[in-house]
Amino acid sequence: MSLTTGNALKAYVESLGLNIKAYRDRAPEDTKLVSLSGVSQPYVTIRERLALIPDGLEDGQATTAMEPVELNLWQQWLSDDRKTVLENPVYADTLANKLHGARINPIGTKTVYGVRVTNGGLRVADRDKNEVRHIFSLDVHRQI
Amino acid sequence: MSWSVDTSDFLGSLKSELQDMSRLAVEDQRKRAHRIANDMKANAPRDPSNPDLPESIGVEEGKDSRGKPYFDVGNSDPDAFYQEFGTRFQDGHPFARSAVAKESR
Repeated sequence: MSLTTGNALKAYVESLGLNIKAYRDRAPEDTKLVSLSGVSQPYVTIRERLALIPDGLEDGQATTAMEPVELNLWQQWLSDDRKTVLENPVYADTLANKLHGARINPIGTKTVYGVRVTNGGLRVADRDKNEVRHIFSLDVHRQI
Repeated sequence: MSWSVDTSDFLGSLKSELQDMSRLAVEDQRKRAHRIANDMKANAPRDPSNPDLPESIGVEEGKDSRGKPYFDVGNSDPDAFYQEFGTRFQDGHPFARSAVAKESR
């Protein structure tokens, strides 16, 4: 069981077998995108609750809602010597595919009905920082 | 015996009503665009290094290539993207998407 939407998504992303770590909000300061031996180490950050939009009232109560969430995939773009592309486009495609329609853990005792990918990965490449970021917009449909 | 129905009044009124409905729909969209922009301004970060961000938010009105009206809510500040989405080690401040989400229902 996860207590937050971010943790429920973290558990789901880390269960996909992509060998990608996920963090709620942001990664620890010392997190590197490449190991000492030069192997790419992409990771995901999840920013939950950009809003919480209750669905219509049922029996006088709001019971379900849509929660927009931002999920970021971070990768180093090129190797440190800038001769090899380290970015792996498969990660972004796989995340979009696996997240769309996903059933994730309940949030506390609240059921999550499903995740919908509304934007499957805006790609932002930062040449100066040598990093590539894919920004996913998700709608999490859940009980409140 | 023959019947004839004069529909000219009805069709004239229908045309006028449709124009009125179209005008109301456009006005509704205009109000919605301004509500989003006002919400964005209210929630935009007040960063001392970039105090102009809230004032850069506005609504642009125009007509598309088919002559249909549109309302474009946005801002002219290049820093706004990083304020909205953050960076790897700097938290974002999602003032735009929350405003749009509120109007999506």
